[in-house]
Amino acid sequence: MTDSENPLTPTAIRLEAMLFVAAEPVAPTQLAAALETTTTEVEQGLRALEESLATRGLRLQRHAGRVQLTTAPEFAALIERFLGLEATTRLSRAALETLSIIAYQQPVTRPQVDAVRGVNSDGMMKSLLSKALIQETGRADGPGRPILYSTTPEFLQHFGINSIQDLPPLELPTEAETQDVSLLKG
Amino acid sequence: MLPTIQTSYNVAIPVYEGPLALLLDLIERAELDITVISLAQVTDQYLTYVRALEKVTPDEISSFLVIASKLIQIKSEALLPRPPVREVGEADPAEDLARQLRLYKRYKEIGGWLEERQHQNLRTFLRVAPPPKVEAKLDLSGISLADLLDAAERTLAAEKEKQALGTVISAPKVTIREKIELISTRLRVEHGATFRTLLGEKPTRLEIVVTFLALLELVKRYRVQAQQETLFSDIAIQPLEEFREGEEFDLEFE
Repeated sequence: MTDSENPLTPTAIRLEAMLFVAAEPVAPTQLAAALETTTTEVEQGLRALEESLATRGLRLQRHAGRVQLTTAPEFAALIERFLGLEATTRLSRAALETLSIIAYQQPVTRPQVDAVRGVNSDGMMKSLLSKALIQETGRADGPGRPILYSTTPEFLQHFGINSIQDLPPLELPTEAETQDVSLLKG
Repeated sequence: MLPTIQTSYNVAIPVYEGPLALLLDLIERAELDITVISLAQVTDQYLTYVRALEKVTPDEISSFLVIASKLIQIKSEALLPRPPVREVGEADPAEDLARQLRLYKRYKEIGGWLEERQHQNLRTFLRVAPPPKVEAKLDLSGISLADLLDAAERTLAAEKEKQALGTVISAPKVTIREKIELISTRLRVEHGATFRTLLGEKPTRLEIVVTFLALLELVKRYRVQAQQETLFSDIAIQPLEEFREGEEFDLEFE
């Protein structure tokens, strides 16, 4: 134990202890209340903890402003073996495509997803809902008040992503700079 | 400048998730950028593919036809010597479709990125164990080791009188003689009794049976008279003879 160069602040260490016992994603305000400190301080602590966890077996998952500890994605096979879990189901290309649209445009309605894909996504959305990768998160204003969908913490866990911010940037190339068409050629 | 489109390309083989997947594939196979011009260039191939779609449900084919109609409009507009006049704010269908296709392409790429992570099995897991249910803490303040010893001594002192483990304890014996003794004493003192009053607070089945046998024995010997008014009612017992103290009975059964 060479803790002499422990970079963690007292807040970060306390946050780690609290997140260990937390049964579900926790809001920084809850953590701040228990620590009797500000959410700014909690956010700083969380960032320090996140940094320190980067070389360890756990990760800090952020979803909808809440934080939770998960195992590191690179140990998925080990964890599955340890817990005796069946290999997880693989999603089809169409499912992945639909998920990526929802992930970037959330909260999003089904017609909005359809518009991007050019096909009806009803069955696909139902399948993703049943796998708990997406969830209903309200209704849009406007005619028919269509249901809004968002990704779930399970989505992050399935792909080993710490937060939606860790997805590749969407940055659409403009017409002038679409020189990289050969990228997808196989 | 653009590479020629392979006309021999058999579009009927691959299965596409939708019209945009098909369109994107046609453009990429032709090594074209997603532009208005390339859309017009692949229109014929697109239509060839759609014509080959026979065993597709009407629901699926409709989405292919929507794009087909857009492509035909784009291609026919491209053939016009002068671009069609549009009202202010009216969108150019070709630009719209190109934009949609570029967006779709990006999402398809991200879908591929997700697929790669899935393939590498980069899943994360949550703790499966529920958080421990912590009981309220026991207040042990002000309690010393001496208090603990005291408590142990008190407890063990009460145990001393108990028989050692391994001693067989048999069920208490109830005898007819004992019960005759009880009935005779009661009748001598109170000159009458009922069957229920002869039984204790919570009589065991054995006690009831033995007491009843004792009563029958005395009835047989004409020492008592028993009377029961109705079925299951209490039995009144009257002595027929005086009971002497310490009287002994010859009994057939104990």
